[in-house]
Amino acid sequence: MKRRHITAIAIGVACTTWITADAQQGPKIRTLTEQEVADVLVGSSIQGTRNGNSAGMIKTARDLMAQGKKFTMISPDDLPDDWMVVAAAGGVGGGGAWEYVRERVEKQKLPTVTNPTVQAARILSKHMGKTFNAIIRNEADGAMISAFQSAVELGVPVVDACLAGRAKPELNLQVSFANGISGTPAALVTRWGDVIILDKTVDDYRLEDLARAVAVASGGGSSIARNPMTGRDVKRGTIKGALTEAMQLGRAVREATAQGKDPIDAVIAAANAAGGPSRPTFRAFQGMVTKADHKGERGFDWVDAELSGVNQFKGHTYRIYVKNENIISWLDGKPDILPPDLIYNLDPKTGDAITGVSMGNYPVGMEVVIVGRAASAMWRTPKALEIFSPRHFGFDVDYTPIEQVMKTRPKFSGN
Amino acid sequence: MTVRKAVHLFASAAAVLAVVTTTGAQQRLRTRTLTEQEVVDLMVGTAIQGTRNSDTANMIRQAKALLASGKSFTVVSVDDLPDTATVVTAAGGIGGGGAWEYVTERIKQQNLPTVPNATVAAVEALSKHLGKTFDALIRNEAAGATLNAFQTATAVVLPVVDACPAGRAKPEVQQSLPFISGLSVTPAALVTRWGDTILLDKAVDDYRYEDIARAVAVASGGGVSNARGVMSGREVKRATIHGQLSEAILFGRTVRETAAQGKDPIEALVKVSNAFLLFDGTVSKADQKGERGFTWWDIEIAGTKRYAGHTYRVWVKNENIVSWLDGKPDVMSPDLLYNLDPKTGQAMAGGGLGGYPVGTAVTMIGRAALDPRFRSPKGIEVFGPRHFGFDFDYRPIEEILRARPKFATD
Repeated sequence: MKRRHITAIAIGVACTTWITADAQQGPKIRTLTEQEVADVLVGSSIQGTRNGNSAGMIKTARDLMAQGKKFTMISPDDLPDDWMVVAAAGGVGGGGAWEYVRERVEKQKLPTVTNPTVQAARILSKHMGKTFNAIIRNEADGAMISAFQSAVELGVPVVDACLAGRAKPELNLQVSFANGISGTPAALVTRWGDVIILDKTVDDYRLEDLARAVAVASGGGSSIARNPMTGRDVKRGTIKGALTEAMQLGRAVREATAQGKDPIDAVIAAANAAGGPSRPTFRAFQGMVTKADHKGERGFDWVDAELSGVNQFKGHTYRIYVKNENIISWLDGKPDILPPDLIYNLDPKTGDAITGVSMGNYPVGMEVVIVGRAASAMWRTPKALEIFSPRHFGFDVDYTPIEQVMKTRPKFSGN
Repeated sequence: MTVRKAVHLFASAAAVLAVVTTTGAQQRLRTRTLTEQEVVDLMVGTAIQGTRNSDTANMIRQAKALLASGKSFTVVSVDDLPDTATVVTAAGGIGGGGAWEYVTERIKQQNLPTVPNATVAAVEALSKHLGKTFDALIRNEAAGATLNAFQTATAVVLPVVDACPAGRAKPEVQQSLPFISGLSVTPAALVTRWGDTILLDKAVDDYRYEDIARAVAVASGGGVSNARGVMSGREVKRATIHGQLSEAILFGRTVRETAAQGKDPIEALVKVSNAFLLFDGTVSKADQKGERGFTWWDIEIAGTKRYAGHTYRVWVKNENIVSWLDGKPDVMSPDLLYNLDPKTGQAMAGGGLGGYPVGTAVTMIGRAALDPRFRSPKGIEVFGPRHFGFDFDYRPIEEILRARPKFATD
């Protein structure tokens, strides 16, 4: 009798242990601290290869955390192969949107919908008959906070990975495409609540064409959930560790600024530490913005920016061609940093991305530091270079990796 | 027995046979199979209904090729359509004038293949998305869309309803009686020439469907096929213009028979369509621009015969929208403006979509909108001159014609 009792207890304990163990054996998901969240957002702005708005993103994040929402992250290594992941992180831009649509909708007083990105994720989930277990950001910058907003709403973690490792102007500019992972099916929800399912596109170029067209016809943007993929696909077809890297960049500039050190040196050191010897980072230029010609057309913001050198770059001129993001640059008229390598435009005082201008733009009269960085190895494969290269943007220049460019460049003192 | 009599006899026999034929659709519908002559008349007549120029000869060629391949053009009358039937508007494409060139250039480099029948693919995608099968098709408008409705219908072996949501061709999707009557054109499926499949599950209204579908066309080499406007039989009865295919056949037969008899086909057409003769002249100007999905024309016609010394102007957005006689607003949408070849009575040929070939003789005739709801406040809001940016109110054609200067023998 006594013995039987003990056995029962033993079984009970064993069961409990087994249940607990099972829960612990579930994928490892980490909750970020408030400081880590702020660092990720600043770092994500730096990764963005264009101007940013870290303060706005941090405010949005803090409001969410104040409501008790948790920002959780899962490493791709811990991601089960059969999990479904979706890039539900904000929108497709539509620079130069059709005016007559805006005017008519204003007259009609159409109401706008709340959280269209989450709606898009739910619609895509229903269309596919599949539940999404995690969110992946499609790019850096604003998509980062948007990924967390969707994740918080859906109660799932964000994967520590990125489809691009930067921000980029076109949907097809993603390493998933280079690795044969389709961006469709995708769901778009406009600000007024129109629902469009891109069930199948021939390729990610067509996804780009069609999503962009919807944005241009919808007041200049549309929310999208796309690139539904398995955990297995995430492991083979994305850039891993993108959030961790953002956190390191954000922490580096925060600590340097607090210690009165040069935050740009800190960004360069942190990027070098994160990227390793195959991904060197350089201070490419420093100067005052003398020109920033902007136009919005066919869904994009195009900027032609010029900097007049200061410090060791005095007397030199830098030019940057922007299609939403910094794409290609010239030093004194000679091609300098070429896509897919990264061009960060940073504020020399904070080390953060420059702020206070419209999408892709440069603040005339302000001092800017250009930091150049070798793209991820995922971007330097022949297939990826076919997708993301100078020629893709219409420049008749072959891609030369930044580390080679820097070797043949004139030396600047203190470089 | 003369050849003509033999043809008549054969036609009658075919018609009798056809009445008893039914399709293998969900609901067994009473359908009628058109004779080859009726199909030809239908093409000519629907081109006339189109309120713009047309390549009628090519439409006839394509229709005859379908018949030669053993396909039947079957029609179901609105009266024979059960209330519970499911009808889909599957009629060709949305145009995309001023298409994004970089798309066409890239795709040429990629050598992307095109899909053979994108409208059929759109019908299938919509059917799958809704989990419903369709009992019949309805054309979305007149002109090429009628041929396309039959191309799709013969491919999926369904009849086409003898009705039309618009009773004409029109530049924008929402310019349609179902929308004016409170029905939605979504859910819809769009398939591009390269096979991209887009489900427009919900648009806030038909204006937004128009915006989005047009943008897809502009991003897809200048056009996209679509299946949309799913309606019950009851809705078809309430919100479309009945007898539109029969009307087209009547128009086609009228101009064919009168031209063959050496009579004036325009006069005969005006009579059967209860239209007004508006102007005779020679096209003296045709300025075109394609932009944001449409083809726009500014047309001028120098008067001939009793209109000598007078000038007619037509403003075209894919279709004839507004006209002026000697600078004074004349006929305006939603009323109908047909530009016809005075010799054949058929829609004018050549000139590109909506265009008028300069130097060609043309006769303009006008008709009152085919349903009073087009002249309701909502109808005029959707389709009146102010919608197209003109700063004058809609005036019905019959009022305008009363106040117009009289022309000899008018």
